[in-house]
Amino acid sequence: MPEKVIEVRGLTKEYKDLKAVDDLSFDVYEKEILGLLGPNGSGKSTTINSILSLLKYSSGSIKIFGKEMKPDAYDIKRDIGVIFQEVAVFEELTVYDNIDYFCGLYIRDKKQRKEYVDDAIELVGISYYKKFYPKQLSGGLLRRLNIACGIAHKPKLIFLDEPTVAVDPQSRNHILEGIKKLRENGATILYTTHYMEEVEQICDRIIIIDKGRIIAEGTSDSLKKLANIEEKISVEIHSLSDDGIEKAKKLKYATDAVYDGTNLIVSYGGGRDNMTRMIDFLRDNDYHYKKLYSERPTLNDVFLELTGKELRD
Amino acid sequence: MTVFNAFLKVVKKNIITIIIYTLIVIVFAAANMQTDNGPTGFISEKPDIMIINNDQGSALSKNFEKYLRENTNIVDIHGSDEDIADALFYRDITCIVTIPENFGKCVISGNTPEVEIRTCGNDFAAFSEMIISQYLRIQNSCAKRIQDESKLIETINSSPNKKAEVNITTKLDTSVMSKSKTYFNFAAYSMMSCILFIVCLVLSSFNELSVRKRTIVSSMNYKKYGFDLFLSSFSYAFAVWVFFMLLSLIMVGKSMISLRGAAFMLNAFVFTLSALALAYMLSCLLFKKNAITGIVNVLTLGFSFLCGVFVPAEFLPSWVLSIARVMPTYWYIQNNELIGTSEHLSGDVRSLLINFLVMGGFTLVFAIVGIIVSGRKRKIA
Ligand SMILES: Nc1ncnc2c1ncn2[C@@H]1O[C@H](COP(=O)(O)OP(=O)(O)O)[C@@H](O)[C@H]1O
Ligand SMILES: [Mg+2]
Repeated sequence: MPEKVIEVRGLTKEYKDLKAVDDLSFDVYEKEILGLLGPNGSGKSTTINSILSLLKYSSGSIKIFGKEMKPDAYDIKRDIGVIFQEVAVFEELTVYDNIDYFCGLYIRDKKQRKEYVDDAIELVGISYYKKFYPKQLSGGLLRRLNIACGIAHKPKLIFLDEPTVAVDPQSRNHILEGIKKLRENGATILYTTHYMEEVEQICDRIIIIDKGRIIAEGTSDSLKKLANIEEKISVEIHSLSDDGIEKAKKLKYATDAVYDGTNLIVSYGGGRDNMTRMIDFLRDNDYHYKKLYSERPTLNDVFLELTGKELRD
Repeated sequence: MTVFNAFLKVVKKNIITIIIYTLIVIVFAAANMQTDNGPTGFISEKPDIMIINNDQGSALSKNFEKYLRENTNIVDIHGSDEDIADALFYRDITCIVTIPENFGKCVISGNTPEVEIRTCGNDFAAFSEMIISQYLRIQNSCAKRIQDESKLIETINSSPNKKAEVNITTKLDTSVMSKSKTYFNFAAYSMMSCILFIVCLVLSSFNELSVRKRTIVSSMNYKKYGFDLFLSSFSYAFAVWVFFMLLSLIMVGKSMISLRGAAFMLNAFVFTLSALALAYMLSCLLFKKNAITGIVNVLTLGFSFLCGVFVPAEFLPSWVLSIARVMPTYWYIQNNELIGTSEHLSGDVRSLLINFLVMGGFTLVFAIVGIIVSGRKRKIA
């Protein structure tokens, strides 16, 4: 059994009449990447801020490295790195000096710090921009700098709060690869996002939250079982009658069929040769279609199944 | 050290601002020191006076005339009484001394003759009066002991007081004093700007919510962090003060190395502290950087105009000055005026101290408001 790095019990944070976080209990184990997935406003940042003692929470207990986390628990804080949702850097300092400053809050030794800062720059891939000022960086590069500032002191436990919001795909991949590397180097990571693709790509374990409550927890595969969907087949058809939709619903193994004007999506609870039957169905009814493809269910389907709403709106 | 280093780097990034404000003080102070040289320059010269001697026969009156010739410029105005009055009115002469007919006899008999002095009423006239009364005082005191005319004249002329005291008076070099006053008044604007702008901008970078959050979650003790920030700001303000004091040595000259110079510098230091506290308070109240630039501009310019930095306080209407009392700059300027114009500093120690105390009070109030506000903000994070 791997060691518990974070232990959250009954965490609740209330803002007047709003429960931003509602009785949350979970553990984070050593060297795992735990994804906290939830739509905007579901309480992800509030959870992280409470764990870090940045916020005074209403009730619950939080242990990190087996010790109670408090605002003045500097020995715990030494081994923690945090990357917040918003970019936190000095406009007046260069890329290098920014990382050096934030690293300096933890590491006194100058020589060691230089090594660490260089490592961080290497990790997020911004060596070329060392002497640049934040204003000269694109959004994606700024995010990478933001991450470098948070992890330069080589923390054992890293919190990342939506580090890829509004980031170009290239920088996003860089960031995700960097996070994987951090874990390979031995760090434990708590990662929040509202992008399901990301948690699927990098997380070992996922906690889905909505309205401050945990609604599901597990690996990507185990969670997808909750969607009660084995396969989804999408067909691009222009104009499909209600009658056609009803017919699609009656296909063998089909559990549901929806049509949004261009795409017909049929969900299946299981079965084999669903694709073949779909092609037969389209040919028999003389439907002209463009694209046709089969998908595995996504976490969005899980979320839809559990809450009745889409992950992203 | 980490905080201090970053602080310095951020300051360095704003160096242009500092240079601009330094240039402002150099240019403005230099220009004003030039114009000040004119009128005050000739107080060290001899004043122009006119003598009407109605006691031509007496050796004592001749001796008095000789003394005046040595210490003043004797101007002869030939004409009617009206012409003479005009000369006085238009400041061609600073005063008219009329020696009465019985001057010599009166002195010998141990009485005080009535020497009529008509002046134009300005500073130089006061100087002339001083020179005249100086002689008459000595003559009076000698006449009490000596009745012999020639012996009396000899004693008066050999009196050490006669020359020495007049010399001391002429040494009171008001031109240098008003030069330093001008410099220090203008320095108020530049020092205030350098400190307010830079400290506000730098502290606002450190206080920016996301940066502060990052600092709070770090293993840096938050109290130590606050203390480091304070030390850094203080060091910067101190450096600004030292710089402007060195600049005063260059602009005003050697006369800064004196008790009066030290008083000017001490006053500037107390003022620096209040500016630093004000900067701290503002940085706690203001969030946006562009707001800082605007508000600091309004404050420094407003303080400077209202408190008599650009326009001498004596020309400002009294209602402006009563508003100005709520700003530390006012008390700083008041002290500058005192130091720059009082003949004996020791006599004005009380007033100086009161002004110092008021500035100290402002420092305290600014600091306390800042601490309260920043404590609130920390809770929000
Ligand atoms: N300071 C605050 N005051 C009142 N409500 C807040 C405050 N901060 C967050 N909330 C509310 O708490 C909920 C959770 O917010 P947050 O944790 O930021 O969500 P997420 O990070 O998942 O997008 C939201 O409904 C938000 O409006
Ligand atoms: Mg958030």
